[in-house]
Amino acid sequence: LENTMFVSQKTGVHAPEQAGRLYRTLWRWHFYAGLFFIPFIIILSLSGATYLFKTQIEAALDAPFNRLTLTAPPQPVSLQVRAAIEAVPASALKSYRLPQNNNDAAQITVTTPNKDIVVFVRPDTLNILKIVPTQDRFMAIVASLHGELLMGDRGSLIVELAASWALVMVVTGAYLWWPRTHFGLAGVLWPRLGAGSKIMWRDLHAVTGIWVSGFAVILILTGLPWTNVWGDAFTAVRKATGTSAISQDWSQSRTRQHADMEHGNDHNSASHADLMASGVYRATIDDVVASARTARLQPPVVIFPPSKNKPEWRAMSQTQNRPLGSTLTFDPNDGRLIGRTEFSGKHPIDQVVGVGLAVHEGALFGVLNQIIGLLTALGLVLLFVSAFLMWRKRAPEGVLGAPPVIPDPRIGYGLAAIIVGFAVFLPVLGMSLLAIGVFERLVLTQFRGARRWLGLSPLSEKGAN
Amino acid sequence: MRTFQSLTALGLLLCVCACGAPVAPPQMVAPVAVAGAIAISEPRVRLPANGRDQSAAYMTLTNQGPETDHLVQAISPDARRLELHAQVQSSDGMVAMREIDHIDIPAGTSMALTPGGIHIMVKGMKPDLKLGETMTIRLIFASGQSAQFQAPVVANPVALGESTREGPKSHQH
Repeated sequence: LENTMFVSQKTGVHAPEQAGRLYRTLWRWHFYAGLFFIPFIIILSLSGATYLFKTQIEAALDAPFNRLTLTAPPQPVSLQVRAAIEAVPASALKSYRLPQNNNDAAQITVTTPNKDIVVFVRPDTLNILKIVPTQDRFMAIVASLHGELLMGDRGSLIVELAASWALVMVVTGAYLWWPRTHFGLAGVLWPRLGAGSKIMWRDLHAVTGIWVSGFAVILILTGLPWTNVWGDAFTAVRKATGTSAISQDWSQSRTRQHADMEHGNDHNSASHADLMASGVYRATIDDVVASARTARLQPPVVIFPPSKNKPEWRAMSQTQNRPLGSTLTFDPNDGRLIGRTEFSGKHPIDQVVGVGLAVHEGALFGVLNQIIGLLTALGLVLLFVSAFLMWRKRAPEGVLGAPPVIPDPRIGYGLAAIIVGFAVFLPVLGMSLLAIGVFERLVLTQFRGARRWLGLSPLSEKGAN
Repeated sequence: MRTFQSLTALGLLLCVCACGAPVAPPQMVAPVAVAGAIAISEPRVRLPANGRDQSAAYMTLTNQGPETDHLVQAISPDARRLELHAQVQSSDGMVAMREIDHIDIPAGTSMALTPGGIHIMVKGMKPDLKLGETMTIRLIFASGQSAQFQAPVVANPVALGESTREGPKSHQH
């Protein structure tokens, strides 16, 4: 169909032939990319659409443990934490989340040798309301599905591969969509629903595609920092170019403060030094939580005790609306506020990435951001449904039904440069191209039947797939 | 048509601005007592180390009124004397614990009394107070208002594991 539409274009004599070759080449790229990665992109769309509503879903799931009717004043946080640790054998405190309402159950994360576990503690009676491993919580499962297909690093690689190829599909799709006929805007900006099912599905695909493509590209680009290969490469490039995140060096001022403290002790009354040693002025979670509460950070606010890697107490706003996030650090001894990291103090690149991640999660500008994300995800699903139907309607019996092979599949330098550009920017895409090339040459040349079924050229020609 | 478009654009812009605004931060703990405009929440008294009777009381004071108030005195039937203390850094950089005569609580702010900052020093603490029990404290403010409440006794991180005062269960008569 697209081919016939193209042929009716009126341009120069030689150009149509070359353009036609390009059209069919890109059509084949678009087809094979879709064939392999549509299942993964559907998973990403649906899990992503769910994750957009993380805040609302978690609020609903936690509702039975929130807004409790307390029968006594809440117990000190340290006693709530102790109750949580006692509820899980061989556990230690990992983090404490500030309850959003003063009658919500405490959500205390304890760590064990195997996994982290969230313990819901009733603040007045210290009763344990729920014990659930962090990784078994609904939104954690959705996040794992979206980020790694529940398969760890291997899944993450597939997600990155699918996202990279999705970008190829957007670009090739936009080329295929580009109006070459005199039909007007119908079938370009809105679908022709009454012109038979073939045209309707083609239009639904092309029109939805063009409306969704910009948002899809934003989602793909903003999601890249989370990936393993691209993310690591990004970090490496930043390191090499000296644009790494500014490391907040609190240690210097902390050292100085400690020196001051010790100095003061030397010259102070014996009773003060005595009290310092007695633990009366050593901060516990009670004190850090109380300080963090008065800082009025954006929820969720999570308190972390000092650890080997991070020797200070920390109160971290984990708001998905990252520009509003901040982290406070507290002295591990007396719990005084010693540092504050704001979004505006971060490296400009980190700010750009942070805004991108917030957009990706639908958290930057409220409900509208969520709706745009949801419509994009649903649009992607519609793209795949329409693509599948078009393919099944067109595919002849006994073969895959790829777009017809091109007799002379030479590609121009321009296209080659674009491919190389993509392959460099998206390393897993580049690697997959090499892998496909090798596979086609070494394996598929041995199986003429498979080649015919897949719709590959009879001869193994460069660029044919 | 143009009016409709600009209205739509304005609506979208408003939504973008309004929806991205900060949400309510985590709520303060419900107060155990209120003295005038000052709400007192999450009070606690640190269990003294073995054999000592000096400790510190910590809490959060929230001024819900339009004017600054001042905490001027703290008393307790469970201790010989309570003092308002602050870590003061002198001009030569030394930090020292000093008794102060009042604690300002500016209008609309929450002040966390914590180690390393302003706190209430407890001298001559009743020797049989144990973890899980409470100590009675009364705070008196410059406004003339006062409030009495129970401050739970919380564990001492240094004394942990070595104290026989650790809790009711380990206490022997």
